Amino acid sequence: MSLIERSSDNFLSQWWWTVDRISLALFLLIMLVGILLVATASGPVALRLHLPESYFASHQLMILPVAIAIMISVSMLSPTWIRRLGIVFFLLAIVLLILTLFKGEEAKGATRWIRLGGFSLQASEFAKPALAVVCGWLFSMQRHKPSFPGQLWATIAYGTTALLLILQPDFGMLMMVTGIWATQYFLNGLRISYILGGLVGIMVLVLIAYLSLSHVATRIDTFLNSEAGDRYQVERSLDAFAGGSWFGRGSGEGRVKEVLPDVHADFIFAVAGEEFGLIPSLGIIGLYILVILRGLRHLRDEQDSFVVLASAAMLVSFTMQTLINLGSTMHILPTKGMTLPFISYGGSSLLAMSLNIGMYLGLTRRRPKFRSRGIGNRSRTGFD
Amino acid sequence: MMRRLGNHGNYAGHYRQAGRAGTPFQALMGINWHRLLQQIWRRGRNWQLTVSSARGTDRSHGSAPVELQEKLAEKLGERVMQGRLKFLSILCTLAFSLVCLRLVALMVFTSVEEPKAQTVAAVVQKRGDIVDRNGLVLATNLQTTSLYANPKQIRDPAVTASKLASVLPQVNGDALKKRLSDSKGFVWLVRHLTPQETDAVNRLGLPGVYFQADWRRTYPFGDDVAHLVGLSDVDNIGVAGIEKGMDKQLAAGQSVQLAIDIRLQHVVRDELLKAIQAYNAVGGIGLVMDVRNGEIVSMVSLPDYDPNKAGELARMNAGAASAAKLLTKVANGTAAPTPRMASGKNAQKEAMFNRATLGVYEMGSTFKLFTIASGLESGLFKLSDVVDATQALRFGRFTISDFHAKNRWLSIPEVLMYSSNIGSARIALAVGRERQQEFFKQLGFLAKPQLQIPEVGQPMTPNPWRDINTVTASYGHGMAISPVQLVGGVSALVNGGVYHPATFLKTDQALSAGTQVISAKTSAAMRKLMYAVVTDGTGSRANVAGIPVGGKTGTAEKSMGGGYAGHAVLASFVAAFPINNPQYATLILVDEPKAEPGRDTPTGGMAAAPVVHNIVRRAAPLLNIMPVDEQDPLIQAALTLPNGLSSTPLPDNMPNGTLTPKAELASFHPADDR
Repeated sequence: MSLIERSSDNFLSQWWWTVDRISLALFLLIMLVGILLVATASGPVALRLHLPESYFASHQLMILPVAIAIMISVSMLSPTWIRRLGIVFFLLAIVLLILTLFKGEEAKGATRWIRLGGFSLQASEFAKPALAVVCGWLFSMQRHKPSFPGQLWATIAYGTTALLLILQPDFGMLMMVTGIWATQYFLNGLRISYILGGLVGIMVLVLIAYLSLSHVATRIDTFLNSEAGDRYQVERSLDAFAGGSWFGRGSGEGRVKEVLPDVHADFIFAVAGEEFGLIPSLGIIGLYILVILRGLRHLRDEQDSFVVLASAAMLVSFTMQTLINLGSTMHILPTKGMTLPFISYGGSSLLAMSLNIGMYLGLTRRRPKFRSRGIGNRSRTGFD
Repeated sequence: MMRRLGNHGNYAGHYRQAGRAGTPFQALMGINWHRLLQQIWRRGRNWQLTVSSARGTDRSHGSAPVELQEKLAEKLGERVMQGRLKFLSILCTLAFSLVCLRLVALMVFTSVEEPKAQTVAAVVQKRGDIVDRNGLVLATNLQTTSLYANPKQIRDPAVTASKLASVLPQVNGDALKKRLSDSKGFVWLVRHLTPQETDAVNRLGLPGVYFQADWRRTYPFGDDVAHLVGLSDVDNIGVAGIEKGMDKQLAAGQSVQLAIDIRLQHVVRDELLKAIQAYNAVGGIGLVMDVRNGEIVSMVSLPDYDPNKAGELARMNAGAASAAKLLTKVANGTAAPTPRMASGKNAQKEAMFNRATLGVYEMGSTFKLFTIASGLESGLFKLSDVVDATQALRFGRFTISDFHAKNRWLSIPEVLMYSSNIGSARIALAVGRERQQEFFKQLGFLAKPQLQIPEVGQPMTPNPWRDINTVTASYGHGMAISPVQLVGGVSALVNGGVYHPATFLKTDQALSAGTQVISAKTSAAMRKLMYAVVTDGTGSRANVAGIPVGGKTGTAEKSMGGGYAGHAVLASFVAAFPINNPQYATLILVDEPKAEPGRDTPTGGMAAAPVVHNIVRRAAPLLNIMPVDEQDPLIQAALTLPNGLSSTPLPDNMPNGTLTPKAELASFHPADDR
């Protein structure tokens, strides 16, 4: 294909030969698994909601090309443009988060979604990659120009987002943005004493949240005490895994999807376990492990601190979401409304994750290294 | 551009120390933990080292260019970042390993709590068949499919219930929903689906709903043997008849062979039904016993029911939860059926009531057979003796009179033939109370018979038993026994005097050992007397050409509310055939036959004797009974009373002999041999 000849100098060819094609393939493979699982899991859910059986599957199938398009086109951007895009998105996300507080749709005691031109949007989903870019940029700024209070500004950016999320309240998302900010701070070389102090602080915060917010308390109580509360969802999920055993009940033969309301979203991995058995389930986890460890390994060879910080935060956000979802489904963690990246049904989270991974792929593209003088680094991070 | 190194390159110094410390772990993490702790201890918040302070000597000498130092610091900072990325990798690996281990534990080392088919199979086992004496199947099992659910796996009971109701018209969606909302792990939904229904339910693909192979009891002959065979409930537990009485054997899978002959049974039911319809009666009883061993070869109680439609019977009865419960109630006597046919609930009770064994009745004139037999057996009376029936017998405040009053002295055969209450009373008084009681006891009239079905009535006997009770009992009033007891007693009278307890099971030996209750001579005399009743007495309508039949009519007024209702009678005919060599005794009872307008209430001779006639005629070929020439001298010798006792043996001192019995018989019973 002449367009992507290695020697060719055109745009597409440059992208193809510089992007991490193995990671891209892994992400696409996860998406493929996702659409299959949504197709098998969502039928009974749709019927329960008096929708056509294929409603969720076809909906997902419509969004998926958009998501892939976003992922690939964003990955074509240069780090500079990704930085600019991230900053714009961050400002937009902050505005939307504020709007959500006033005009959002309340559901189950929380206001997280806002209607924009016929779409329900969860602004916090888009705040995550944007925050990763903004904080990464601010941290790296200080690395190159120590007089610039990058750490402070990054913390302010994080704090603003966190405050808006607490007001919703959305503690799952708060954990995510905290993870992004903390990862960057950690990679940036935060002193260990601060880290330890921060951990204590988080524990105190969690305790306060437990004591002051009833739904968090219920979640944690339910998790810690099997007698208390409604353990219906997670019990059905565990039944599903047990029912799956080595070889699964067979595609389409799952039972958990008949009884769980969120089975196409938060509990989709239970369907995978029940219908396909242990080996394919481990295989799915394996895809995530591969893409994540490969990414982290890749970042170790990266020179540009902005690239490292931003893309590591994006990768960590992807990882955290995966682990929290899997952990909830398998009752390692309290049930948290978090989707399995690229597999669960859900337009907002899929598109936001595509943006996230698109930026990640764009940042980690191979670039000529200006090692000798480090000037390239600085110009790319927008300093000077 | 800022060149002050003091604020820059946070970890450069650490890295250097780490490089010196040199353990692989420290290198891996990019952190010199020892050094770090030292720094925390020594410097508190401002422990942060700078490249310049770490390399103070170098700086004082001014040997290293600042730019180079900066670049070095930045490079060293990158190394810190690399180490920490490594740390993140390890953290991720550990977290994912935990997830994978948990997944393996969940999927492979967790036993699944599936509903076990075996636990259900214990409930559903194959019952033994019930067969008639020739091996024809009266009750057997059909393989069906039953539907059950694990409500714990049902997310939306309403949807599941409405879907099931859409393909199973017999189920009630609301009731189903209630059961699906149960907290139990197992509920039956619908028992005994047909293959089509099973397929339809399967196509719904409902989760939490399961099939179980099941056996459904079926009764190929339906109503024909309903009261004898009885029925089983939905869980295949016997609730009536042989199904209940022999439940242990049947539940263990053993077959039960009954003495019943389904061919004969059908004939008896058919003829009885015709009589009930002809006389607009409320019910009827038909019994045929093998006099040689007490086997009940036919037992009919009408009205009856189709055991295959027990569910509909239950629905018919709005009050009781199920037919089975009602049957239990009836059997326990807590829901005694009313004597009248009624609609709805009562009709069902009537249909469920086995009159032949559970009902006890004042049998009326048929009891005179036993009175005369006891008189003959006592030696106090000979066939040629006469008794005074010139006028009504006053006994205390009671007056005993005859229905067909002759107002003259009657011979013993005449007492029977004209069914004289006065004559019976005189014989019974002569024989005495104690001997009467003893005789009844030997015939099994005073105790509840031992039968293989639970529906057995307790006979009602006089208590205290005074002379007046002896008088009324002599013609079948004042005590009540079940029809099966009566036919057992009659068998003993005609078979040579041996009493065999009634049994519904086919006995191995042709002749079972019984109890000798009267002498063979008395038995022979009874046969002659009974033959005379058919040839010359009230039972003439039972006469069958070629098959000699002997019998006795009975027309008992039913007692109602303490008195006797003249219009409501039990019309009965008890008979044995062939009477020259009896093989079978039969009893036909028609409950409350109605008179045609302007006619008298039908008697046993009118309503019941023709039924016996028809049964004998139709059944003789089935029972392998050959027609005989009744004029054959041998048969005549066996059946004809000596000296023409049945005609006009009027003693000299008879005060009122204006009418000859023959003439009166002719006027009372127009010749009617259908």
